[in-house]
Amino acid sequence: MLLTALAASVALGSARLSLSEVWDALTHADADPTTRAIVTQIRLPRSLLAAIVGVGLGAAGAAYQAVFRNPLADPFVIGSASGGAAGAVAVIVSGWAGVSEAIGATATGAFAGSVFAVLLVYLIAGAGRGPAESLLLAGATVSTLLGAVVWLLLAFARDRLPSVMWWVMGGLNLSRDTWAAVAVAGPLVAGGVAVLCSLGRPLDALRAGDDTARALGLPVRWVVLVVLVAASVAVAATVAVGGVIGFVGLVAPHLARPLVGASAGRLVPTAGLVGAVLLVLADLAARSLHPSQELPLGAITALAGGPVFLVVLRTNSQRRAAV
Amino acid sequence: MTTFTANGLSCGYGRRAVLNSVSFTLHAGALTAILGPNGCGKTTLLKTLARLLPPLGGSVTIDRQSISTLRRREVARRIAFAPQVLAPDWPFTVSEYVALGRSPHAGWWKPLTANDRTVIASSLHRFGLTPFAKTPVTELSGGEWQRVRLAKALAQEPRILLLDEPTAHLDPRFQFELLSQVRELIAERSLTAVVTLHDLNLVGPWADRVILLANGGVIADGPPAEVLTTAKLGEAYAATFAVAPHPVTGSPAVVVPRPDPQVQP
Repeated sequence: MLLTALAASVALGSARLSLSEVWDALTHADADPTTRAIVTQIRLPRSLLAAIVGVGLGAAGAAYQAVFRNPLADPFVIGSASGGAAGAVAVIVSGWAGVSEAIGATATGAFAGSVFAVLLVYLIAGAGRGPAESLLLAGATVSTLLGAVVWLLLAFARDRLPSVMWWVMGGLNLSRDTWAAVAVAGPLVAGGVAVLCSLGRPLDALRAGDDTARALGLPVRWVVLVVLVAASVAVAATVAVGGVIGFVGLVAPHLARPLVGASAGRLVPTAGLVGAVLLVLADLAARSLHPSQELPLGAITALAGGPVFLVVLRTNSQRRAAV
Repeated sequence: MTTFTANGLSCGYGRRAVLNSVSFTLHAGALTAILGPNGCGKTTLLKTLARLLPPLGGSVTIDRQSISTLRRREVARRIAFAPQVLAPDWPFTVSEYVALGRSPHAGWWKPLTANDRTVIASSLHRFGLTPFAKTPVTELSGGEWQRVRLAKALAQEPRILLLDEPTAHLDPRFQFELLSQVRELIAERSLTAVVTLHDLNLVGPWADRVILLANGGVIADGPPAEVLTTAKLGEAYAATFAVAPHPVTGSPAVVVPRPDPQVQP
């Protein structure tokens, strides 16, 4: 399914290509240079980036839902989004040039802000000594706080509002060099998600309850910390290259559950794949629905994902009621 | 034979002690019931015995070895603690849930071995859960769920079984089935079992020994007939009890009688 979505994503767009044209462009150096440029320089990296961001958000969402025992937890629940936005806005407003041309100052700021916010939330919530739920409360508080910072900064730089909008709504057109974005986000997301995938049994134990997990000998504090680090690095990488793309991380685990069941060992990787499919398709829609203008990706994911999510919830609750 | 001991144990949360200087030694093959009013520290005591909470004073030992010197995983191989989970909220299948009990043996990362799978299958079979192996735990009845919790504890292959309110929300038939299964397990594997109970009338027929907690300590400790008395229960629960041998079983039957409207105060 992911391969189909990727193929569609590479082929479709403002200039429609056939799959054989895409294949030629990829395998023959002497293919039509325009087609080749579209495929290798624009469509392919863009689709890969969408898949990477989707994997990161989907897997992180599934892991957070297990750790917090909360079906409404999403990858941004402990401040990644507001931190990323605050970091990006701070860079945009201050006009800082950044450390590397290819990655971009704003992306660096967003990554740093995102990681910083999670760290702040972790410290406020008592560094893992309290129940995992206190992280949710601290996350909500820090998110509101950093949101206020964003709007205050904007009050001083109203002319930057459009570029900030893109960060808050999400979009994969934020980086100047998409291949560079793939090269940076790819390893970070892959590393984070690999760690999350290896934690299947500890996540299952946590999902069964704090006391149940401890009674089985699980070092709960350490596992929560490792999940937090792995997930927030992956999520911060997605925020750096795509801004805040909502809903995918919330919905993907719920769509994956009917496919592979509730056990984290299978659920986390599947949620990642589902997230990738969703994001590749959403990004395809974002850049092809309107002929001359790209639409904000975060708005597309919420608009299309919302109804799908409601249908899934309804089917699940009907199935439960029928038993 | 395993001996499980609390030596001058004080337990509670943070610096606030709920129970002080609790001491007892439990032997294999016996079922001990812990009784006491709401908030007296039954669950806190179980959590401390299972090393989920550090003792505020004193120690818990298995065969004279303090459990705080053992690694978490070694404790979990010896002690199976089933905390109170009234209704599960995540649709693990029954067999996935029971498989969690193998974690202290299999570790957190290694795949389950053939032996682990055999133990899981026999635990399911032991409680008549084989037909439910693929059923989500969220779709079970209260009685089935309590059996799943017990099957998970059994898959841990423990020496000591600590069950928090195993009969909560069960109808009399399921209470009977669950407690008979616990008794059979104790006899088969010479386990040391500790259960907290709220229903005082289950204690007489099922428990070998009763530890009655109240007011931050142990009020009484002994066989049901010695502990379930009007005086001791009255002291613990601050209520007026009537206790009489049950006409059929002969074990102590307990009621809190309604005040007689004929008697003027």
